[in-house]
Amino acid sequence: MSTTVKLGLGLLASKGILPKEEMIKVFQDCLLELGFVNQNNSLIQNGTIIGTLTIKDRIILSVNRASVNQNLNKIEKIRTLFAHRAEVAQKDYIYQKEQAINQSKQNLDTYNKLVKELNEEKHKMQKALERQQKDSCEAIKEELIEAAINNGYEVEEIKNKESKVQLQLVRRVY
Amino acid sequence: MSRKILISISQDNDVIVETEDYKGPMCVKDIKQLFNEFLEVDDFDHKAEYYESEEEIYSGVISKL
Repeated sequence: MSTTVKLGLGLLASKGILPKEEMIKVFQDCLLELGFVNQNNSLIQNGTIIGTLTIKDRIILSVNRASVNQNLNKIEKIRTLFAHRAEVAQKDYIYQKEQAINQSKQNLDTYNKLVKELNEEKHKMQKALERQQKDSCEAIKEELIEAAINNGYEVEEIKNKESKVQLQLVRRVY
Repeated sequence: MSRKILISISQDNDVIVETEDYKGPMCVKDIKQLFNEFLEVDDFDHKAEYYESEEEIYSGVISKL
């Protein structure tokens, strides 16, 4: 071993579940409903800082490893509510897009192109929603595998006796 | 030759990332790059190999006289 990093991570919103602005809006509504506050990317409940939010294409909560176990329930609560709200928001988003696409029916080439793009988007959103509905550990694993492959690693998954998931990422160096 | 990053994820979302077959600071760069789209990673615990320099590879031509 040359270097080790230890993290307490919660995947609150999966990548691609909604367009970024929509995702943030739905997420903020969920926090409000559950009594959390996002203050300068610190997730706070009853005046206590739970962890730090990183909002990019997905939403990650990083927590102190010593308290990761006691925050598990909170992470799953947010994930579950967000999954429900995101599913509704997806339907609304797709409906709005379909309405807009139907306006372009006069030009068949444009119409077909837009329909194809929307179908691809729907597929990605559906996959992200399925991931959102899994437990956080499984969802993080899947997103890490995707990121590793995109970064040129070969990935092997090993499940050990303690039901921990282990990923071995290998990069050939020539 | 290959370099490895080992990631262990427990059910309670505890994630441990370790590097193998690296020498020098390249491991930090690779971890940061991998996690770039997730979060900022900066709390590294370096082992002895981190402070060793990478082997120099001679890429010239050796000619026997």
